[in-house]
Amino acid sequence: MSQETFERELARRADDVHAAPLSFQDVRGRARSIQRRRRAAVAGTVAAAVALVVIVPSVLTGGHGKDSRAPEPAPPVPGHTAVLHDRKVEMPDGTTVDLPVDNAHVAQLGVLTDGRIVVAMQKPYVVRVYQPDGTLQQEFPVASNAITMSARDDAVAWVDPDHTVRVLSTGVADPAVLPGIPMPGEAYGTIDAVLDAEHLLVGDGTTTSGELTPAGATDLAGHDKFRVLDVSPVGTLWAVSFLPDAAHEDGGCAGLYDPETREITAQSCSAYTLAFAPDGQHLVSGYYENNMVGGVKVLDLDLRPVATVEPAGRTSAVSRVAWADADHVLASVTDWQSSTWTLERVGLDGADPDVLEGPATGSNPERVAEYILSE
Amino acid sequence: MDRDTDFTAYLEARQARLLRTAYLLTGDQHQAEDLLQISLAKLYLAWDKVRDRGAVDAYVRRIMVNENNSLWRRAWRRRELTTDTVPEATPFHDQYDEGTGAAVWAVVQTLPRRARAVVVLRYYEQLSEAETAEALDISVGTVKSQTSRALATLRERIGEEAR
Repeated sequence: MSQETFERELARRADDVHAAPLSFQDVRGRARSIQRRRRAAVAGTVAAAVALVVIVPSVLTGGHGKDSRAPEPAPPVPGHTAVLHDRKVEMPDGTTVDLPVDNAHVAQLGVLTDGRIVVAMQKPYVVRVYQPDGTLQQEFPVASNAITMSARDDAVAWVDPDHTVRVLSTGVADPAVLPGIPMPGEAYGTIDAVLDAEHLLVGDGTTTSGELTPAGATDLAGHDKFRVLDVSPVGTLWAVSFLPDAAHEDGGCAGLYDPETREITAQSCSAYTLAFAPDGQHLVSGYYENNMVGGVKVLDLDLRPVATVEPAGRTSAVSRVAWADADHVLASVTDWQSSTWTLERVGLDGADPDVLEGPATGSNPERVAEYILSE
Repeated sequence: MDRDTDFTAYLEARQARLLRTAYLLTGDQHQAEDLLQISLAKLYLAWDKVRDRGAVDAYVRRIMVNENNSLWRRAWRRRELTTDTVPEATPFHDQYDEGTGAAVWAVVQTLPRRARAVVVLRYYEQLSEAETAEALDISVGTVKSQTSRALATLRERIGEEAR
C-alpha cells in the first residue's frame, strides 16, 4: 500500500464531486455578509474614541426566572484572567511573569491556582507547563493542542498522542493518566469540561456524550443532545450549545442546563459560545469569526442581554474577551485595518472602561491575538 | 481588467477544483459547498492584497484549511460526527480498483482534521512536504509523521479486511 494508492483514490473520489457553480453574485453576497458580521459590534457607533460598552444596568439589579433562585455561593476565585502579551504574562494579582513564547505560536493559556502557567502551543504542537517564575517545567506532546481548565482553575486536561487523557492538578507535579475518550477509528474526542481532576465531561466534538473518570467513561444518559461549553463555578449549571437545526442553521441555539434536575433552565437562539462569570451570575457570549469575536454580550441567567460590549470605530473589533472578575469583562480591542491594539476593562455598571494597555501597533488580528486571555 | 472581472475569471476557472479539495477536507458535499463559498468570499474581500496572481490557489487553500479548522473549533457549527463508516454512497469501482477505494476513504474520514488536511494537500493537491508545511503552518517533520501514520493506518485497515 503506497502513496500512489492515496493519490489515485482521492482523485477518483474527488472527481465524482460536482455542484451547481457559484456565481460572482453568490460570492459577493457572502462577502458582504462577512463584512456585516465583522462590523456587527460597531454598527451605528460613530464615536471616535476607543471606548467600550453599552449597558442596561436595570437588568443587573432586577430580573426574574433563574435570578430569583438563591445565588450560587461565591467560590474561592483568587482573581480571574491572566493576559499574555509581548512575552509576558500579567497575572490576575497584577504581578508579571516573563514567558518566552510568541503569541503567534500560542493557542490557549491557562493558570493553575498553584501559579503554574499552562500553554497550548501551535508551534511546536505541544502543551507546556511553566513554573510560576516562568521557567519551563515540562513539555507534553498532544493529539490536539486544546486545553480545558476546571472552573476553579485547579486542574487542566488535554489529550495525549496515545489518546489517553492527561489531567494536571494544582500542587501535583505530574499529570494523571485517564483512559481515552471512546471514539471510533483514529478520532480522539474532545474534553468539554473538567468538573474536577477525576471527573471530566467528554464528547465527539459535536455533543457531550459521557463522563470520564479514572475508571473509564460512562454515558451521560437521559439528557438532551448538546455540547457543554462551560460549567458554572460550583457546577450547578452547565452552559450548552445545541445542534443547529433548519431554523437556526447558521448558529444553532445555546442554553443553560441543570444537571441535577436534567432540565434546560434557559435557552436562546441569539447566544453563541458562553462563559460563566466567576460568581456564576452572568455569562459572556460572542461568536468567533476570522480570529476575532463578534456580537459580544453579557447575559443574565435567563440568557437575556444585560450589556453589549461594543468597540467604537467602524474598523474596530474585539479580538478576545474574558471575565476580569464578577463585575468586569476584559476585552482586547483591535482596529483590523491599522492593526492597533488596546486592552480594556469594562464594568457592568456602565462606567467608562479602563484602558489598561495601548493603543499600540501589533499584528494582523486575523492571524494573531496580541493579547491572549487565560481560559 | 477591473477587480470584479478579474475575480470572476478566477472563480470560473478554479471553483470546480477547489470544491473537490473542500470535499476531501470535509467529507461532506454540503459542508464542502459552504466551505468553498465562505473561503471564496474571504478571498474576494482580500483580493486586492493578493498581488501575485500565481499564488492565489495557495492563498485560498490556506483560507479553506483555516476556515475548516475554525468551523471545527466553533462548537455551535459542529455538525459532523466522526465515524469509521463510509457516509457517502457506494464507492465507485472500476477496472483499477483493488477494493481499496472504500478503505482509503474510511481512513481519510477517521483522521483528525489536521492530519486529513496533510493527506489532502500532499496526495490530492500534490504539494511538496515543504509546501504542505507552509500551508498548514506546521513543521515538515509533522507532515512526514502525519503522512506516514496515515499510510500505516491504511495498510492496517486493508490487512484487517483481507484477513
